[in-house]
Amino acid sequence: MAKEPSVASAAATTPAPAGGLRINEDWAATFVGLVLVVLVLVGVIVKGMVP
Amino acid sequence: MSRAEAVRPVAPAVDAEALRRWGWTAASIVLLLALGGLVRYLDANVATWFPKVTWLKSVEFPVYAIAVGLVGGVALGALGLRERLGVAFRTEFLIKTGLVLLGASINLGIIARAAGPAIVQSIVLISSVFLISWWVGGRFGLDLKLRALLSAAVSICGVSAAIAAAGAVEAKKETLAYVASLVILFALPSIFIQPWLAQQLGLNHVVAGAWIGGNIDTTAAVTAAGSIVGDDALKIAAIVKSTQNALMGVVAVLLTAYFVFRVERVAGATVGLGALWQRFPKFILGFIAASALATLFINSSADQKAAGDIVAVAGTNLRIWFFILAFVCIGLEFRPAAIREAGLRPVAVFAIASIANLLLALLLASLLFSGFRLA
Repeated sequence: MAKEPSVASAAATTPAPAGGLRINEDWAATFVGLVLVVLVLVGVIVKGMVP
Repeated sequence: MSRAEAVRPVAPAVDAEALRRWGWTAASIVLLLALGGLVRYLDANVATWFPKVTWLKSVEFPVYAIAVGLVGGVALGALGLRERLGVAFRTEFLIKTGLVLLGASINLGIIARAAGPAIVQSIVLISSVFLISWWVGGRFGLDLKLRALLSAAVSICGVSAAIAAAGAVEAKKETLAYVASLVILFALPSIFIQPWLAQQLGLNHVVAGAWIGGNIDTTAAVTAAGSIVGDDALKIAAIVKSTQNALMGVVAVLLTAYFVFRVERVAGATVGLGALWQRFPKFILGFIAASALATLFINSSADQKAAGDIVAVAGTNLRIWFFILAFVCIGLEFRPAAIREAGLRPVAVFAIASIANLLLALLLASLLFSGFRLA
């Protein structure tokens, strides 16, 4: 009997979207969050720029 | 087919498809930002439109955001645009970025002091609620994989934990989709009910935050409920929830080991500790790093008040934007149809486990956080 598709097996066999790079959501959030913090601390983003 | 047709290049068709995809992505981002702007507008003005309705002043932005998202979701569904315009609805990414930004508003010392009680609460809560849910699931005759997913979701952190558990036990995609829908079904009302209950019980904001962080399943719903109670509650709720998130890897490894060695009895199999790191939610590192950066910035400034105001641009102003967009996405992505398709037994198991979680989290939050001071 054929094994039913599972989350683990699907994750192992699903290729990345063509022409795209899969970035882990956790790392993406960490990167974007920290970049924004640094931009605020060095004065690139100031209070008046955030509506 | 003519020779000319046979050799015709396919690039223009591919380009057109790519262009269309980019167009929908851009439209999706614009729509999300517009709905976020609407939430900001409502938050600033609704109470002034109805000055005699005094309780409107206490309605916080998560309420408007979720309501706008729900209405938007219904409208997109009716227009048949939900799939195509859903590209930018990234609740998890937005909430995690918001949490990294929130880290900047919390002194590193507070995280260090809260870590002890948060770890104790998380270990006791996760193991107790997981076992209760597992046992109740057995009594209701649920299969082992569904029990594993339900128990992980209700005891740790909702959808993320269900995904980790699904990978660990090799559950079917349909099972995961069903559990994820259940998580949202229960999280949505608790965003409003738990802050109200905390107020009725007269809990201080620290205990209320620890209760919310310990009980509500999804990180997004925890931040929404914490925001409704207040900033202090949000900070403690975020620390407690992040601690639970961090323990997700441990549970995933234990589940993998249980299914490999006890359920499937795979001969000669090993469970590597690399899975621990693989399933560790990395945004928690960003949360701590943002706190460390901001604490260093404020402590090394001559004018700490001015430095605190600068940090607030990231820790409050930008963070609120990311939270608004995430809460709008919660509303946009809510699909009651997914719940209707499933039977009642898993709903009953989830409900019983959620009530146990609610009571146990209240007890632990009161015991561990009643003497905790943020200042």
